[in-house]
Amino acid sequence: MIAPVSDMPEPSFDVAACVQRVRRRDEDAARALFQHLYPLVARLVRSHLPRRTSQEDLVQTVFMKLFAKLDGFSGAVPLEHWVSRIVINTCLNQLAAEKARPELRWADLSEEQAQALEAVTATPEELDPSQNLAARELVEKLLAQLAPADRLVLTLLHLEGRSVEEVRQITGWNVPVIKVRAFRARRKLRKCFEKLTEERVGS
Amino acid sequence: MKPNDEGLQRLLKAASKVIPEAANIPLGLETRVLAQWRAAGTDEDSVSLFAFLRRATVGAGLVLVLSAAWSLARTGPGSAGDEAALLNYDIQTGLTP
Repeated sequence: MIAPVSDMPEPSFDVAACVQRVRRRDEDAARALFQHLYPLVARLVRSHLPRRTSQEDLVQTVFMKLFAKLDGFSGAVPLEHWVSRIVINTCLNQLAAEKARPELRWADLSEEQAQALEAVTATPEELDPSQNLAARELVEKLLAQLAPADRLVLTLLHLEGRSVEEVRQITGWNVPVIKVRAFRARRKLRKCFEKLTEERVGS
Repeated sequence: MKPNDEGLQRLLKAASKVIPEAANIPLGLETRVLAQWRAAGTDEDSVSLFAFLRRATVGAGLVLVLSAAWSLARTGPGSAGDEAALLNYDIQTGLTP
């Protein structure tokens, strides 16, 4: 059955009680917890999806880890933060396993992505909202060329708009590490971007 | 700021406006996850049963060793063993001409 889900957690959902019931092997509670957390997990997996893994497979892996580690959830942090960390670590491990990072060429871009790239380099104006999706896809392709940790830090800071403190909570890295990694990652991303724009000029 | 920096900033800004959708739960995913969760629970039950049996075996072995030690202590040197040896000796000397 395809269950419709919304991105917002249900306000009436009692997380602590549900977690307790899951620990007692209550299947209804496990189902309710799955349905409650699915929107969050799916959105995060979609944001940090490794190239060669399907979203569904990764979501399944995340939920298996989540249920296996549920006994270790103390409740000291909100469940959503704890789950976010599991999702991001799972994606990071998967990205690290996929060592090869193919170079992005101008010819790899779709027509919309090429137009978005031309628009940001040709004019100082903001992109038309209709080009946002192409811009997102283009950025994901650019990020795919970076190391997993670099990709993660830029996604969290620039695409998800999280603060350094939030990144610290999610990744467990300390603040100076995050700042240095973000600085270096931005520099690498800029190089990839410049290479692509130079290729466009040359073509 | 270089033109490329500004271009990249604009590109990132436009990309950040797209929030990845959390689509509907794919068909069968919930069933698969719950089946794996159930299976993991069965594995855990097997593991705990195995752990119980292992502890029971160790406990029984310990009782066996203690009772054997206690039994040996009771039949130690200077008790029934010596008496039996003396009786044996008497019988053997009585039988021999």
